[in-house]
Amino acid sequence: MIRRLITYLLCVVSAMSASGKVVLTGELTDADGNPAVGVIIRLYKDRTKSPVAFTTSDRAGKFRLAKETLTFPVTLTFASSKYAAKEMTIEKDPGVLKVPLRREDFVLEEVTVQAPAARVKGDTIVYDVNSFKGKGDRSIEDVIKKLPGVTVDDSGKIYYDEEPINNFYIEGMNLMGGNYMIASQNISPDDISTISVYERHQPKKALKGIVDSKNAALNLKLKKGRMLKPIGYLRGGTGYGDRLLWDGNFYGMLVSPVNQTIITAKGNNAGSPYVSVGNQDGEGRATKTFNKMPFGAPSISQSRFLDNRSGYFSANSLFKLPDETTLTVNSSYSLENDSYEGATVTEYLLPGAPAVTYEEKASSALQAHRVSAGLKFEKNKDRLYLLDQLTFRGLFNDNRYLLHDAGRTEQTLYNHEFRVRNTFKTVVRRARKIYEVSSVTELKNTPVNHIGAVRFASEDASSSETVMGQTVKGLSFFNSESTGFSFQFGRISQAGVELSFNAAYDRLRSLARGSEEEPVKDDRNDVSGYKIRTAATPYYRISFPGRFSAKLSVPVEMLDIRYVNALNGDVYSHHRPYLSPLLSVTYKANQRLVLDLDAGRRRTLGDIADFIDNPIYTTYRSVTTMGTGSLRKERRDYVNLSTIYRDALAGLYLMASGSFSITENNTISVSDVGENGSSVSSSRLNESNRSRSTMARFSASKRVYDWRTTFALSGTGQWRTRKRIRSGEKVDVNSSFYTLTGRVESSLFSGKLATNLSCVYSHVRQDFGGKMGAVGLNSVEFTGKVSVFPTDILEIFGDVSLNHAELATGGYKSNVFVDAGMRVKLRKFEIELAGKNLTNLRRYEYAIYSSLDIVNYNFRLRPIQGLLTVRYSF
Amino acid sequence: MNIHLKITAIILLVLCGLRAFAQQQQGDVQFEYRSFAEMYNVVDTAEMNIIYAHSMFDPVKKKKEIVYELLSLGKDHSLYRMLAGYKSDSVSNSKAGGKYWYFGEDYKLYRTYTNTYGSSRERILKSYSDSKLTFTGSMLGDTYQASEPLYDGMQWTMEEDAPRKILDHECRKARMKWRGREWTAWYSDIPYNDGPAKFGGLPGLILELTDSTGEHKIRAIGIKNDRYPFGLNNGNPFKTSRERYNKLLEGYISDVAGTLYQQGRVTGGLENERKKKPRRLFYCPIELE
Repeated sequence: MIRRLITYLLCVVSAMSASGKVVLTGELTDADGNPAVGVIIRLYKDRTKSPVAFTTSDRAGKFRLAKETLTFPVTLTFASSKYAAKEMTIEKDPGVLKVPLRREDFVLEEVTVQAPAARVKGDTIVYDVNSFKGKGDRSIEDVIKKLPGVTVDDSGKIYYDEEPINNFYIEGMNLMGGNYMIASQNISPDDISTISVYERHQPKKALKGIVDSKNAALNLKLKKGRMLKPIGYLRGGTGYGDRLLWDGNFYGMLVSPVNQTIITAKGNNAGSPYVSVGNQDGEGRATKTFNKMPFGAPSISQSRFLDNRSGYFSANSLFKLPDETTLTVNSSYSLENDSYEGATVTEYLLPGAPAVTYEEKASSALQAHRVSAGLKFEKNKDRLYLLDQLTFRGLFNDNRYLLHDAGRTEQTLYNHEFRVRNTFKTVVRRARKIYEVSSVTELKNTPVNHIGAVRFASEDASSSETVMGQTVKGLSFFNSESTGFSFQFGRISQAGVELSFNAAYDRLRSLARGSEEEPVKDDRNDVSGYKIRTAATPYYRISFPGRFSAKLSVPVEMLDIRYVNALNGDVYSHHRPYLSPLLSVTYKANQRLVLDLDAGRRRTLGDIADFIDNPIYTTYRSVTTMGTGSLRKERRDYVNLSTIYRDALAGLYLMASGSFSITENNTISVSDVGENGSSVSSSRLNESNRSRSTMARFSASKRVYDWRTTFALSGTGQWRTRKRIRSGEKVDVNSSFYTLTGRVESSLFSGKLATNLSCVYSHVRQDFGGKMGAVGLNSVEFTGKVSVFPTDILEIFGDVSLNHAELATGGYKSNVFVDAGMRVKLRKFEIELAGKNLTNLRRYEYAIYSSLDIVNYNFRLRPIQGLLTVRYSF
Repeated sequence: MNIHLKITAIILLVLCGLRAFAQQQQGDVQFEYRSFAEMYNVVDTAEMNIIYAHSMFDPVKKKKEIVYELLSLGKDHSLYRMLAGYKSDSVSNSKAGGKYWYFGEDYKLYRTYTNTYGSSRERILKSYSDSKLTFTGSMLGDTYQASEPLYDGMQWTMEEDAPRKILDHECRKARMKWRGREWTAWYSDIPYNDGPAKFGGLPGLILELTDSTGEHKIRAIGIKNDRYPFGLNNGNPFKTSRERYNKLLEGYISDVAGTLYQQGRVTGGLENERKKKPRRLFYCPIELE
């Protein structure tokens, strides 16, 4: 009876097993029959899906797997780090499985650590370069441009949160100072592992946690193995446009824990000037009097229109000395020998009369040598900061301008300027007390500064008459001393006083040609004197580090001015105190949201220029009278509000800001136009002038890390009202300016396609209180950059730039630039064939408002050109 | 005196002088040179290493932190710790035959690693054959140790979601509720039933782990094949239970000054200071129960 019952039960269990349950037991052994321990056994019904059950073999190599509601056939897999993987399909209950396994070590393929795109640590955001780098990025600047909140202007200057960065570090060392473009535009992104953004960076350790900075700093961290060996490149090439072209470039950098050295030498005539031959090149007042491009320049890259011969050399070295001290030596020399041609049609608007139009063609030949050298000693410790920096700069311009209007005129401009400056700063921190001393001493001299013009009666150069000639020389000596003392009250508040003393001696002389022999009083200026500003600025600061800070300061400044006109003996003096309260508040709601408020009153008081009351020629047909004989005073009441939201990990950056100011001035600009517009003069008139300015800006960008794409949108609106006098009549000038910019930068298909598209719409409008007709101009500019990488070594790239702008003469003009080329990268060599201006656009037309005038420009462009270069990276 | 003796005497004097100078440079700090084997109870040799990025969010401080952690896989054991710990071990192993250097450039390098990858002395040692997990952590200079069964209470449910690729390995999904949090794991075909922190018990190595609140996200970001010995510190830790250690840690994190005062490590003015507002450190525990 019992046997029957057991047999019956066994039959039932067996039937149940066959109908819905799988139980598998087994024993795993190696080739020698030893138990295989720790093997993972997975049970699958469907091999393409997740295992339905799993277990691990025990110390005896045995295992048991059971699964309800499962029927044969099933699949078993065996996986272990010590045995070869095995898989078997089981059609029916096998009883106890005996599975031999072959000994084989599991080898896992190494995967290089994929650093996250961004990491946030307090006020530091660390960006992984690989996450931002596209295949077409040539320099680290190309990567920096993609970081949220960062913009880079045409000169290479880097801005973060709309403010210029205060330091550019390489491995924590600031070698290049303000000339960091040499590094950012030449360092390869392949050599850099991370870029750190130090937000609100206080570079002086002694002031850290006490004095906040609004400016950020960047730090480049080199990849492992890039230290202690020279890195850089050598490039050379040739090509043809309308002449034979050449281009050569060497960049070398050596970074070690105790020294950094950067040397660069380059030259080209292929349309890449190294130093912008800017309008107001130079620093001294005498040099700045003359615009170096007085007959206009297109608002496009100088590489489009300048026929150049450019050379540049720079050597820089930083030595890390003991005790957190560095010694930095910088030197550079540049030569620009550039020329360009253009025609202008200037429409001088006149109240109550038809506008006067003047046409002029100009060929400008600009030659500039610049020399600079600097030596900096810096000690940056937690309790002591010490800096002494000596710099020298020399500037030598030799420019010629050929003008074609009714006749032919040649204008020349020579100037030499030297500047020597020594800066000394120290901060001492003792417990809760902070002492600061700052001293700047500067000598600027313009010994040679001459403008002249001759007019040719015909194309024959033999017969000419002097139109004008004038020498303007300047000398200035400046000294600034400041010191500060502050005391920390408890943990959050600080009070202090800053004392400053600025003394400037200036001399400016202008002499019209021939007036030395036959002095004519109205053609000469000779004014010298001093301006001393002594200020005491008590302040109170409350600061919850990382959360909230507010600073109220009330500068009381005493101004002492005394200038003497040597020609007539007149003495101008002014001695009185001024008060200008300032409030600055920063609130950091959390790590992402920051609000800033600045409000106060600023005063700007004139200088020697106000007493230069005889006219000075600025071009052969323009004269300016800088001053009125009395001191210019400007009082500006302002409020700025900005907010920034940034989530670096999400790649989101939002910024909005607004500002409003009212400025009271005691002078009005006067501009008069001669008959037919053949002469223009500008001066100032003593009369109260109130102007208002309002500005609103926003910027938003979102980096989608998974798509390797950045979307950005920004906009600006500016509204300004002021007074001008034109031809004796007062005119209210109301101007407004709007821009809206959209940008998408992307690296798609595993980096095989890189695109950067942007579109800018701008509108400018001016009305003159009904006294002259209102004017408005629209323009749209689209730029698209595309790089395609069909293979890992080949890049095909193209740039398109379309400018569709309204002309003052009516209608719209479109300018289309197309550049394209290809690069082949073979290990350390890179061969590039690049074509510029492929549509061979030869003229560039655009219009601008210049105060009360509308100027239509029409410039000659560089022709289509091709350049073949070879670059060797080391 | 013989010329050779003179030279020998001069050399000895110079050497003594140098040694004295070196000691002076080191100041009053007594440096202890101990080899790796002396400091650690070596239990296994790492054959594979998985680097994890661990993102944590503290809901009280509303602050996010990312640290880098390393799982060293041996034949019968695994060790989970901060990547900085591994890096500093590498420094010590590569210098002076495995001696620890606590000053100079090596110490700076160690600080660089801890600053970069985060610092913590917590280590989790899993023993596969013993089915045992040993945890060590340190607080205010004391080391604590707690043991528990391997993968204690981890009841995973396999999910049938589409597989995902992580570090080029096909991964499957599994979920479980464990010690107060709901976890989702993506386990791979790598033949280790291990994972980050205390996690494991799946039929393949866990490469990604997230909790349902989003406070923890642990993801494998790299694989290294370095070989080196590993184990737990050879010191004399306080033996405790995981519950007790977690409670102690929570108390310390919530009120640092209070803990210091309570333990008699500081006296005086700090007591008044701490009465104003307890200073709380970043805290985002894996285990809530």
